Order: sequence, then structure tokens, then C-alpha cells
Amino acid sequence: MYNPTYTFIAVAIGAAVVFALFAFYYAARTGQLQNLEEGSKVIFDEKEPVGQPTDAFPGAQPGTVPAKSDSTKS
Amino acid sequence: MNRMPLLLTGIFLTFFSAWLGLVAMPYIHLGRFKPQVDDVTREETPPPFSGEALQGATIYAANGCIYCHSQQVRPLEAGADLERGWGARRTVARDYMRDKVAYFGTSRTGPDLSNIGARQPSAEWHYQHLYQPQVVSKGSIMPAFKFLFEKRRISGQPSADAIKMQPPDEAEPGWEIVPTREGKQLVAYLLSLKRSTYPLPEAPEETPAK
Amino acid sequence: MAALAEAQPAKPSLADSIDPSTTESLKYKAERAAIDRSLRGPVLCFIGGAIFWLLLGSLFALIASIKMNVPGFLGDSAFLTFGRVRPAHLNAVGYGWGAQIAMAVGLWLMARLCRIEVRHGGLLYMAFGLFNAGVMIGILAILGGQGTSVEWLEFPTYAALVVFAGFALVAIWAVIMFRFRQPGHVYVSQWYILAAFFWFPWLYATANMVIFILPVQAAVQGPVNWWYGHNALGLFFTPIALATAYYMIPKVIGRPVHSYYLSILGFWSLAFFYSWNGMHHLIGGPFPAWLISASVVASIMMVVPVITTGINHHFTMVGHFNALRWSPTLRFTVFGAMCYTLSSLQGSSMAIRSVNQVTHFTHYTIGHAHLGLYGFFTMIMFGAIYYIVPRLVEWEWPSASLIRWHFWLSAIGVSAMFIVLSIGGLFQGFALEDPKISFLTSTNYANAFLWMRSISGIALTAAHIIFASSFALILLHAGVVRRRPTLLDRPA
Ligand code: HEC
Repeated sequence: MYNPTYTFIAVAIGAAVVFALFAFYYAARTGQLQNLEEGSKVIFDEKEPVGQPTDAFPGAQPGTVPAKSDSTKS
Repeated sequence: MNRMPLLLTGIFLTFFSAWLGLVAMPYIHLGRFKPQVDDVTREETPPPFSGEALQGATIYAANGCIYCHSQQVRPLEAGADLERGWGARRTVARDYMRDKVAYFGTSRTGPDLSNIGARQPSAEWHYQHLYQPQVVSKGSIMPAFKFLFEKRRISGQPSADAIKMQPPDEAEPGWEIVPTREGKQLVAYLLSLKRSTYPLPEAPEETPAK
Repeated sequence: MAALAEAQPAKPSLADSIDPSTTESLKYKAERAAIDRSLRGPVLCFIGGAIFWLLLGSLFALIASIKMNVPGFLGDSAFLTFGRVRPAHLNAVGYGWGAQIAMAVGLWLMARLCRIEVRHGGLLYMAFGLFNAGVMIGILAILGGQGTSVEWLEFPTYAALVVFAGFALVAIWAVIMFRFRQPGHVYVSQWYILAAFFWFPWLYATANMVIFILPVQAAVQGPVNWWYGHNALGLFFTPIALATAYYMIPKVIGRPVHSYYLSILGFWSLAFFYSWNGMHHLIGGPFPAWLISASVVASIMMVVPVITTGINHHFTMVGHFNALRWSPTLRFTVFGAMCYTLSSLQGSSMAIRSVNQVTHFTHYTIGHAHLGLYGFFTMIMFGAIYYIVPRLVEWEWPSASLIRWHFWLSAIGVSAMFIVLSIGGLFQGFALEDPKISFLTSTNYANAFLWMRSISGIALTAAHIIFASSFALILLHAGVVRRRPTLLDRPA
């Protein structure tokens, strides 16, 4: 059951692979694969810097367990 | 990585490749079956559904039979389907060319129904079973489909299509239980399910070793 | 702060809100609190709508589950027959809850990461209305006997179109936000969200088109159905939940993700392999071998992104496990991340033909689905809600014990459900594979375990009720604020 569309699909997939390889090469050339780890810091800033926890149970300071005496039920 | 065109192209291409492979390819490969025509009798396999049976398929869908029943017979090497007597051979893609929507199914809380029309050819059996599954199949957890039936007072002659039930499901004296139009359509559909009872060149019969 | 506000154009027109090149807005860097405020209305609506469907979906689930134990339960009405309640459950939790909460969390994360305020948020209310109307119409249609019985696509076309319109509007808004983003690195979460919002409409449109609107021969519908069904999970729910985990874990403990490099590898391998999944739902079915094999291979290759992501999350947590004691968000998120690894590895194993042969048509698959969509996706979404809502309403959660109850009931409930369905499914599967055992015996094997499934379902429903009450209370600003909560980050 030969069907010319198969050829088209095969060529399309081949082209996609070639394109992907090229894109990767381009990304590497333009320095986009350098300093990768920088990206992980963008979610922090001066107000919520690295090292500062930002969540807690109600009634506690972020980064601490609410004290037993602190009635957490309101 | 900050070049957005690159990211977007990647997002597009990965998906597009799969779309070609898993949507376009099956379409080309499985989308244009023609029936097998017998040289002598001009009979077509698979045979077309009757109008009533096609209606019945929508009743099958509306009531979610698919959540317990499959309609596919796996080949010998891929399961015990044939040994359970659910078909004479595996089902192949062409067996479904007459369906508007095929209910292949993913669950076998109930048995496979690909060939139920051949296995249970009696309409009466199906009516009794749908009305109260436990009657014909003790211990069944299939729900009763009483809403596909109507209980009505007999006026004059009892209807020819009234179903006979045993107590406690029996109708009170002077009353009868008859399938509604939907009920009849559904049973017409079930009776026409004989997907792998006829041979196709691409699917020879398989006999399970005893 | 004042200077910043001046830099923002007074009242943007719709065109300004859509096309960044027409405005000066790129110079304007929004404060985190201001971003949250701009999203408050729409995101709270989406969260509220999602919780509504979660509750309703749990109710459907309970009814369906009890019907498996007692077939006669609520048996005589057509609306509540098993075959209608079960798809009503799936669609209520899959679209009403799942897709909706994914949109809420996706939008919020996108705005935060792009550091811009959302504009013309009014259109998002419209999206909210459309989406929920669509789901409501769809569920009523299913109960009324108009469902299609094509799994994951049970909504009749008229409902699907409305759902699609609502979803598309949100997706477009997310993309627009992305175009307005502040210059700088694009965080990996943004990739996932962008991709998810791009992939899902395409998936949904293709599947509805091919199966219902311009129907193809039935044999093609099977592959398209499962290409959609699996990729809705893999290319929509999964990326949104991973985006959330990639944001919440580092943010809560205050430590950048262990390896950004791994996160990039994880993203591309997921995009590449997950998109080819789905056909392994058809193993043994009436389809050509090459088609199924393609997905089997892709499914097993999913080990790559899963291990990558798992390692990355784990090493980010190393040394901070005590944070699980003080952060509600982290508890849910880490539980979800663990379930991701587990359910994905299980999924890969289930694509192996010999395993699939036993598990395919059994409750084992249903256990797997709950591990993925509940243990992984839903738990991460719960975590995100615990983080987001206080920042939107500028109020603390009213009660720590409600949160603890919610967590433990959910965690234990879903674990129990997964375990009993898996064991019951295996019994059922091995019995089905042995033709000497009568068919009904296989059903009965499973049913012994389905009772326990109903009980675990009650635990989950209780968790949801507790969660919904917490949500209602925080909206009402119940409780006292015992201190100036730093986590609310009020503008000075
Ligand atoms: C909750 C699961 C469930 C649902 C929903 C369900 N069934 Fe069943 N079905 C079963 C079980 C279990 C059996 C096996 C016991 C029996 O024969 O009743 C069965 C058996 C059958 C049989 C007999 C099969 C045989 O090999 O003898 C037919 C026919 C059938 N069902 C049709 C239907 C139809 C039509 C619907 C939808 C209107 C439906 N079922 C919905 C569980 C279900």
C-alpha cells in the first residue's frame, strides 16, 4: 500500500530533525547555552532573596513551625 | 535561553511531529477502508448496520456501556480473548469501517461485546438481561436498565413484544413490560455485533490450542 | 513606587493590552503585590469554580463507586445510571476542576514570572463564564443521555465548543502576558506554561474535529482518541503541574533549583517523548503494530524526563526536608512531585506489552490514572492554592489544623485508593488472562477491593469539603490576623 503522502511525511520529519539540529547549533553559537544556571535565580529578587523562605502555616513566621501554644484554630 | 522564536519553534515542532505520526499517518493508513466484496454473491463484508442498529449505537453511547465493556478482540499472543470464546479471530481495523463511532473500550468489568450478536442471538435474552441482569446471570454487577422498558396496563391483547420475567421482576397481573423504542434499538445494535465472525484476507481465523 | 506607577500608561486600550510594541509598558516593572492584585478577581473566580467542580465531581465519583458495590443503588433513573455518572465524574474533575485550576495557576504564575500586571482582566471573567457554562452544559448533557462515550471527549460538540472558547481566551491571554514580559531570563516554568497553553487547544480542536465535527472512519478515531486522552495529561496537566513545582519548591525554601541545566533537558525530552504517547492504550487492539510500537517506545523513553525532573526536585530539597514541617505548600508539592516520579515510571512499565496484557482492561489502569491526576497533579495544585490565595486576598488561611486535615486525608486517601485499585486490578487481570476462571470471578476479585476504593473515596471527599471550607473562610476574611504576615508582601 504505497502512498505518496508517506514520502511527504518522511521528508517533513527529516526536515524537522535537520531544523532542530540547526536550531541547537545556532543556540550554542549565540551563547544561549552558557551561564545556564543564571536562569534559576530569576524568581528571586531584593525583596524575596535567595535564602528566604516564603511560606508557613497560618500563625507562624515563614520558615518556622507554629508553636504549640499558638492556637492555630481561630 | 532567551530567544523566543527558538523556544516557540521547538514547542511547535515537537508537537507537530507527533501530530503527523499519530493523527495524519493513521488517517492515511486507516481512514479509507472499503468492504470486501464476494465475487459470486456480491455480499459485502463487513456488512452494513441497519438503521435501527445505528440508532442503537447512540443508545449504547448514551448509557455508557463502554465503561464496562470493550469491543475489540486481541490476537492469541496478546491475551486470552480467543480462549474465552469472544471471537473466532482478532478484530482488525477494517471490522469497524461501518461504525459512526467505534467503542473500542478500555475496561472489562463486563465481557467483550465485539461478537455478542453471534454469542447471544436471542433478542428475548437481551431484553431480560437488560431489564434485570441478575436473572440471566446470577451474581452480575451490571446495572439494570429498566428505563429502557415501559410497564403498562394490558389493554385487550397482550403486546407481542412484551418480555417474560420471573418473580420478583414479573409485572403484576393485568400489566406487561415492553421495551421502549430505545430499548429495541439497543438490542438491534447488540444483535448486529458480529465483528469477527466472517473472514477477511488480513485476518485469518485463529484457533486457540486446547 | 510612585515613580513606577507613573511610568505606566494611564488606561491602556485593548490594542495596547495585546501588542507590546504600541506601549511604553516594558519600562514598567510591576511590584509583586500589584501583580497579585491585578489578578485577584479572575484567578479567585477560577479557583472557586474549580473547587465547585471538585466537590461535585467527588459526589459523582462516590455514587459511581458505590454502584460498583451495589448495582441497584440509585438504579432506576436514567440520569444516574453508572454509565452516565462515571463520565460525569471524569469530566467534572478533568475539565471543571483540573483544566480550570490549571488555568488559574498557570495565569498567576505567568504574570508573576513575566513581572507584569494583567490588563483587561475583564475578558478573563468572560473566559471564566464561557468555560464553566461549557462544562455545565456538557455535564448536564452527559447525565441527560447526550454523552458521546468517547473517553475524555464525552461532551457533545455544542458543549465542547463553548469549553474551547473559554479555554482559548485564557490561552491567548497567557501568550499576551508573555509578550509583555520584562526583559531577562525566561524561567523554565514559563516554558512549560507557554507550551501547555499552546498544545492543549490544538489537541482539543484536533480530537473534536476528527472524531465528531468532520468524522473520519471509526478505525482512525481510536488512535486520535488516545492521542488526545494521553496528551491532555502529558502535554497539559503535567507541564502545568511541573511548572508549579519548579516555581514553588525553590521559592518556598528560598533556594534556586538544583540544576537549571537538568530542567532544560527535562523540558525538551518531555516535549519530544510525551507527545508520541497514547497508542499504548491500544495494545492488542485492531491497529497496525508500527503505530502502537511508536508509543510504546516513546512511553518507555519517558523515563528520561521523569528521572531528570525527579533528581532535580530531590536535590533541590536535600538539606531542607524539615521545611515540610513548616510549609503547607511544600508538603503538597513534594507529595505531588514524588507521585509524578512514581506514576510515570509505573506508566512506562504499563506500556510494556507483557505487563499491559494483564493490566490493560482492569482497575489497575484506573489506579494509575488516580495516582497521576490526583497524587501528582491535584496535590500540586492544592499546594499552589495554599500559596496563591493568601497573596490574592491579603489574608492568612484561617486554620492550620484544617490544612493538616486536608493534607492527611488527601494523601492517605489517594495512596489507599491507588494501592487497592492496583492490587484488585492485578487479581482481576490475572483472572481474565486465565480462561479456566469464569468471567464473573474476575469481576468479583476486583469487587472485593472496590469496597475499599469507596472508603478511600469518602476520605478524599471529606478532604475536599475541608478544603472548600478553608477557602470559603479565607474569602470571608475569617479569623484574626495575629501578626503582620510577611508572606503577604504588602506594598510599603
Ligand atoms: C457496571 C458495569 C456494566 C455496565 C455499565 C454495563 N454492563 Fe453489561 N455486563 C457487565 C457484567 C459484569 C456482565 C457479566 C455478567 C452478566 O452477564 O450480566 C455484563 C454482561 C453483559 C452482556 C452479556 C455478555 C455475555 O457474554 O454474555 C451484555 C450483552 C451486556 N452486558 C450488555 C450491556 C449493555 C448494552 C450495556 C449498556 C446499556 C451494559 N452492558 C452496561 C457489566 C456492565
